[in-house]
Amino acid sequence: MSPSPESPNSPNILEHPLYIQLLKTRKKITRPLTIAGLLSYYGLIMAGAFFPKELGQPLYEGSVTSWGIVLGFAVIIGCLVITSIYVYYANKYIEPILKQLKEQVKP
Amino acid sequence: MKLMLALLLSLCPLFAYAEGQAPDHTLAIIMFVVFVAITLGITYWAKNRTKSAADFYTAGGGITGFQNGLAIAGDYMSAASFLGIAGLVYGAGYDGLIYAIGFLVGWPLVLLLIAEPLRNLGRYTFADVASFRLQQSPIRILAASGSLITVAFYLIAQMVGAGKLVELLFGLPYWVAVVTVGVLMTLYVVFGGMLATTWVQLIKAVLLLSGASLIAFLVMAQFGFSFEQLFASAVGVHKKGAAIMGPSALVTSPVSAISAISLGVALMFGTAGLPHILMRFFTVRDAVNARKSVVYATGFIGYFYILTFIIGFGAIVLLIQHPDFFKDGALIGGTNMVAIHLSNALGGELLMGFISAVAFATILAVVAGLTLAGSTAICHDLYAKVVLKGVHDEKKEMFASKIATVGLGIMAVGLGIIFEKQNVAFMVGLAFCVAASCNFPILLLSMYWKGLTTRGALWGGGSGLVLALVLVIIGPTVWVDALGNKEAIIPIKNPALFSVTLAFFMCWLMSKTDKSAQAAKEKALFDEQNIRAQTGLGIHVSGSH
Repeated sequence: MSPSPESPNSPNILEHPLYIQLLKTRKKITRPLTIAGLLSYYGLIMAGAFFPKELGQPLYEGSVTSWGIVLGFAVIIGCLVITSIYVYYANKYIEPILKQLKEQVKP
Repeated sequence: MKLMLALLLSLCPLFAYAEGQAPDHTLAIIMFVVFVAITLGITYWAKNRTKSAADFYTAGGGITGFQNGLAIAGDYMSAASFLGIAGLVYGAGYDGLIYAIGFLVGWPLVLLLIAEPLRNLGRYTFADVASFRLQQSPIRILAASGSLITVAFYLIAQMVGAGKLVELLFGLPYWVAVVTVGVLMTLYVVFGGMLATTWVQLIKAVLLLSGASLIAFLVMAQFGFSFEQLFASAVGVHKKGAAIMGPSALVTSPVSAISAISLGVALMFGTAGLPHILMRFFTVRDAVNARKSVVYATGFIGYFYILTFIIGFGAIVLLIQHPDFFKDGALIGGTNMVAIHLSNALGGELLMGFISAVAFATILAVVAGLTLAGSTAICHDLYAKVVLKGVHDEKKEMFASKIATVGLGIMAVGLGIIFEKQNVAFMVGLAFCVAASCNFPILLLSMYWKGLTTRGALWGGGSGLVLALVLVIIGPTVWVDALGNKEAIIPIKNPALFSVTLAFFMCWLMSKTDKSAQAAKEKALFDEQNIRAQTGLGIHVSGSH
């Protein structure tokens, strides 16, 4: 299981433009999505802790459904949206780079 | 043959008691026995396909992304979340929704940060990843401890839950239920390894999702499929009235705000550190399938929590005004039983029997997954890598895996019986807290931070683990509820906010100050590791079967 530092490919891959592009492309999507995931959830918890009254307010005059319920469902759907965006992006942008890179460094 | 004999033996107590019981339990027992017969049949089939250690730990790596996603969802949707969250929504309304969301939000994180590099770097356990460039023995011992403690707490919660549930649902004595669960889970894992455990999980996930969908559908049908109407009726009958549509007033003090955030930290990061979940990523061929697994899992889990929320609100409307479900003003069997009572109210004994059997099957599948994860931590991390020093001996490892599984089975039954009278509801939270405070930091940092050294990981993971345990013991759940003291030393129920922070801080501090030659070597290996984590070049490609 230990890595083999003597592996002939590694220095080439580290400097390989496609590898550098791969790391960049990945970071470009994982960073904003991770932040979005963290913010939406802790935002909801903070809102619950500091604005409980507001979250309990009805959505519109005469409704029972509250803002809190809508925001809660939004976070659930947000999780599904985040995962879907990532997979779409990964298939469209990350996989082609990876495929190209693997072909080029094939021993 | 041996298996068939074991099958009969394990079911004997069930049949013996079934005959003497009131007729309304028979239906549930018959359905459960059918489930057990099918799963033992699968175990028999899987037995001939589980020959090597790789088969035992990862089903040979031949599970598809979709199957794995469903199996992950199955592992994650425990009876505690099905019955517990429905009960919480029934009691507190909106707060139950917030709690359920906590269990979902870890998944995008698992997808974005963990799944692919985990699959690219490891073979059987997350300790493979953490020890990739760090020192094998100490890191594996730490990771295995984190895994085993997480598994033990989770197991206790499930075993006690199983015993209590079966007492109520099937009218069987507590110990019979615990022993039945212990024997069956040991059979699945010893004979069928990961392949049988995965299929048990798949069947249970389909059953649970269909059962919960059916109840939720029947609930919504009563309100013209309008949430507004459902909520309006619930507010009308609940003793808290309109307050169930917002966070409870309890969340307003600073201590409870910190508690809420801290619980959120435990649930979110704990998800990414649960050994029985992480190990599932090694059952698929490659990183692409690992990615697919999480997307399916997130979908199933999100859908499932929406169902439990509907079930909880449906229970408010349909149960509160029916005296049949109450005894001395309290719901029969406690609020954990709302989903079961609701199935009775909606579909009579047939539906209740089905949901009861599904609830028991759920527990069975989850404990099997936990036992497999525990046994893998013992055999692969401790025995094969630390005791045998990585010298490969397939026969010894397979034999050890069976011994470890049987040992864990006996331990689980013993703990289940010891903790019968204790309130164990907090133990799932504690399992998540330990996973978040020990497993998650070392896994994440070993993959993403070049500067992490063995010393840093040991201090970080170790201190997170110890602080989590200490704070829980002196906190309200153990100090007050379990030990009967008047006031907790620390008023925070879930300490993850502090223990996770400490774990990351110590990882950083003890790595930064580590000037040893070993540390320099470990840092130098990061680039090599990262190439493999990012591209999958050089990974062990497992065959399909």
